[in-house]
Amino acid sequence: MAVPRIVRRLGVSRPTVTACLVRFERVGVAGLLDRPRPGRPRKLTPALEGRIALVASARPRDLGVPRADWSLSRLREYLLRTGMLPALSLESLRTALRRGGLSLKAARTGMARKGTTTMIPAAFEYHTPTSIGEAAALLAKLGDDAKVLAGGQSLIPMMKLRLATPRHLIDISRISGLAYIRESGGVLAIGALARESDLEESDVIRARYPILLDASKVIADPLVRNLATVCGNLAHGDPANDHPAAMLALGAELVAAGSKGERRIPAASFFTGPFSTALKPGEILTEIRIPTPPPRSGGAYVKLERKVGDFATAAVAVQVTVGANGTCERVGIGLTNVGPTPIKAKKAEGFLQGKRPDEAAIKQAAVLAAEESQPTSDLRGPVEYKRDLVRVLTARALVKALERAGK
Amino acid sequence: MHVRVAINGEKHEAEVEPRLLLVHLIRDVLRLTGTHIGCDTTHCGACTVLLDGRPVKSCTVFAVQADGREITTVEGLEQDGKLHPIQEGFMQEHGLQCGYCTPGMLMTGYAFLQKNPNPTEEQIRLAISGNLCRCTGYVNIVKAVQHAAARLAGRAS
Ligand SMILES: Cc1cc2nc3c(=O)[nH]c(=O)nc-3n(C[C@H](O)[C@H](O)[C@H](O)COP(=O)(O)OP(=O)(O)OC[C@H]3O[C@@H](n4cnc5c(N)ncnc54)[C@H](O)[C@@H]3O)c2cc1C
Ligand code: FES
Ligand code: FES
Repeated sequence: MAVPRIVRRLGVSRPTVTACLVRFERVGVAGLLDRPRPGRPRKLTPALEGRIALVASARPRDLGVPRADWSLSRLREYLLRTGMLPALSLESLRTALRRGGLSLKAARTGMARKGTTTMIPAAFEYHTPTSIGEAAALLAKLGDDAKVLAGGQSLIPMMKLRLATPRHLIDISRISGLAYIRESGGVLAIGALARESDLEESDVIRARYPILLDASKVIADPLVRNLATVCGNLAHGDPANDHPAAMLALGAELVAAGSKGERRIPAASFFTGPFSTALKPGEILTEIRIPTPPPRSGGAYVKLERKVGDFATAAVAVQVTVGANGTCERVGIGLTNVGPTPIKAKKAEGFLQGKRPDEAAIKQAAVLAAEESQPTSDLRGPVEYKRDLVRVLTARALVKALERAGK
Repeated sequence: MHVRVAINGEKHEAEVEPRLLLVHLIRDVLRLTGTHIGCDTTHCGACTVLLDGRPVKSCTVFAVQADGREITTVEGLEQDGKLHPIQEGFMQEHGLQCGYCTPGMLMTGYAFLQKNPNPTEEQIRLAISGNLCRCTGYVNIVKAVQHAAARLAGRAS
């Protein structure tokens, strides 16, 4: 089922559906479960029917059920066993499938899982503008049907699973002069086509922006990093992506270009929801602008992942500047994958501001950051674990950042 | 759409749908089947090829994106009937079991040694971290890359 149809059917926002599908793809059915709620079992709400449709559209084997096809009773058993539904008669399951336009036969060969052709994205038209102006004009003309293609390392995997089915792709990678990373006039500017691997190889980054080097190194794997762009990492709006938190900590500004001109958006107001950003339809993220840290500044990004290439169970970005008197002049703290968006830990930042960052202060700031996190339970762990992890990682990131600031 | 690519130094042209993945161009259109497909979620690295010299997952690039660029596949490693030292390394050190991940490992290892001819074990492990071996033969894969590094540096090993 295409996302727009799911959106219409469930009456929820597009980002919610996309987030749901992506979580499903990443962590399986557990990703779809809301936190358990007390009270009586509910009737089949549209959301529950949506879950049924999603499971029915998946291949049983992909969900750990050793069968080639679903039968009605197998499907019911699965939904109950995984706790996706509180109670369900075969009859209401049949009704739900029918209402979702799914017969079991159709369910087996659902859109996202068509036999061995899961790798083939839906057809699209390919555009290769040679300037930002041309790209913005195309986006404005084609509207909702079009998407920007940068490194493709988030978009193409989603297209292969048919979680994204854009009619037009506007490949910005043929626009020359966008792959820069340069520092001048007190600003570090990162262009739309700078790849993660460029960041890793940049001397400027190595010398003065260790927080970005830390983050880059733990994003995906070296092969993905050879294509993935830093701007794409932000524009994708995935709360699990690693650079957003670093940009929050650094106080970055993002430059958006549309057919009507350019505007600047502070990172702190860029991430508006899961898979949604402040970019307006038709806008392209052309540059990241980061104020050059003054002397006695340091930053760090600390991430816990289950294996290389995994999204963070939780991660924390810290950027500090220590004044001549040894107190914190500026503190930025960003949290990854512990909420619907990357989170700026404002209370923790405010607490440290103007204070001497001794052991007790670090401890207290870490507790505040943990309180500000909004994790949900999934295969990476329960809420309590993740929240405590934020506490531990915040303290570690602070210590490392302060060390680098040469406190 | 029309695409022109140079694969292993040889020019190829093809008429393709924009949605055709680079790996399918390589395997199905150009019949170079040394490049493997091991997953449909961009995780395994079996499909690794060099795009303008950098190792990338060819299952996550559209063929049209490679238009006008240079590609190297595993078939391009051997020169004049002689295996490349990285291939020798995998043979000598038993760097493969079923061989499924091997083309990807070879391409990643090859590109890595060009950039970093004298690597530590840890650097090798990080470099191949986007290539999964389901036979889990990582110890010998690391040895194979070390073997190749030594050979390329003119050291016997
Ligand atoms: C196996 C795997 C593991 C990964 N693990 C991690 C991880 O641990 N941490 C992490 O942070 N990321 C991870 N990623 C995501 C990866 O870093 C993404 O590639 C990156 O986040 C997106 O950059 P891109 O250039 O590839 O964007 P694309 O895939 O080209 O685009 C992504 C989205 O952003 C939009 N977009 C891109 N650029 C712009 C722009 N300039 N202006 C407007 N819109 C734009 C596109 O339209 C699309 O909607 C992983 C990816 C893979 C495949
Ligand atoms: S086939 Fe698995 S990453 Fe390309
Ligand atoms: S040798 Fe079998 S997958 Fe690596």
